[in-house]
Amino acid sequence: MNLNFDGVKITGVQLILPRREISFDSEMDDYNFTSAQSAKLKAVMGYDKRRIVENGITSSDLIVQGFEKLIKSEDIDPNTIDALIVVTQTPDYIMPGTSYIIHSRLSFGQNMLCLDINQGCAGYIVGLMTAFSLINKNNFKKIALVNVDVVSQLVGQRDRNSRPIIGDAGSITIIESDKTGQPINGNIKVDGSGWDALMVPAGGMKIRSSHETSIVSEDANGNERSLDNLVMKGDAVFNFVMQSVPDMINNLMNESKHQISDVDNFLFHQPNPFMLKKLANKLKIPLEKMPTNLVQKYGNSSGVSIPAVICSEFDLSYFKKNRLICMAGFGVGLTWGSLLMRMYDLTFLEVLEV
Amino acid sequence: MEQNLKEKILEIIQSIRPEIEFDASKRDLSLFGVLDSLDIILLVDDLEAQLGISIDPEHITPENFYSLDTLCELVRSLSK
Repeated sequence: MNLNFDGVKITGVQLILPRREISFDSEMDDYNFTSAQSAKLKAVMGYDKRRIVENGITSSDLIVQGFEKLIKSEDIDPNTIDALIVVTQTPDYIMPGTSYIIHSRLSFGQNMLCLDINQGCAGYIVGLMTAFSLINKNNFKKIALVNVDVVSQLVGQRDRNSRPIIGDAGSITIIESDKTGQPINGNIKVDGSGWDALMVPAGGMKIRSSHETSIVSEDANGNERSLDNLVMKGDAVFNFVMQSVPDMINNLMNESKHQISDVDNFLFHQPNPFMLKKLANKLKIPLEKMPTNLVQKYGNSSGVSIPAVICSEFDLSYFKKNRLICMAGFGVGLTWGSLLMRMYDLTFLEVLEV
Repeated sequence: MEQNLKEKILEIIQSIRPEIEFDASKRDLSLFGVLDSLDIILLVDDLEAQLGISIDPEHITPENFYSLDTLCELVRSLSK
């Protein structure tokens, strides 16, 4: 479905990265790759470096440190935040939502909304759309959107499809009411029949975590994982992205009456360089307008990948000018969504290592 | 020519999954369920580099990568 928003803008973005960096070279013996395959995977898939949390560090741990920094530097005043939206697939607890844990640990006031959304790779788009809707239709003036995932804790140690590329990260994005804001176009689609293409089978109410769910077994391609681990049906996800994303972006351009050439930057979710370059080629997007290398630096950080691109590939001065930005997220659900919006006058843009 | 193309593609597949013994004598060698998504990505990259073709996203489908025959058909259509 197509969506329109106005009267809102992003005023700041912070990326929170764990300091712990893992290199593919140091893990290669865990997988059944030949040295030639490993070299090729580094080049094509971007298997290289990734950031992951130390065992025991939770989603709220990353975000609380981010907020503490922003509050200390007076980039945000917690008393002015009307809503805290937390988008994560790795909550601290099944209940309550992680937003309440963050609210408690930062001693936020009572006069606000806390909202948790279970989304992954489309989570930045879904989170922004939710924030825009709250501001457009209600009395919300300033919203803190949190995207955070520590999926490394859910990945099998010998899962060659997922583990070499999974990274952990968090982000805090401030969205504010802005009556002079320019129109924002967006779209969102879901195909629930693909719900099992990206999933963690155990840990919810359907299959409770137990000793049995922690038993590791090997699949036909030599990947070892348990029911407690992330399962990614790579072929289904790959096909879905290749078939759906080009149409989605072309639809966004048609609805907004813009051309690809009008857009300053295409900030897409970062699954791997191969898929991104294929999408850029199909859509005739110049690669200098579309970062594709985040996976190589930080790993695939699910819903944090778009704010990770914003914070690591640009500086504050870039967004002093009015930039037309196209964002796209696609993944778990299956969900795919995009936004075409102006970004300008940001008050903070930073990377925090914790 | 047809046989050469088939052998070349099989050589590329074999280099990606050297531990699997593919049998080229089979008329319709099944790739479905044998190659995973990672293999398909490496295969696309190798086919483009070694055969001088460009494989668009819409061509990377289960149908086109179902078997050696369907893959040959795809490569042939993109080589025209």
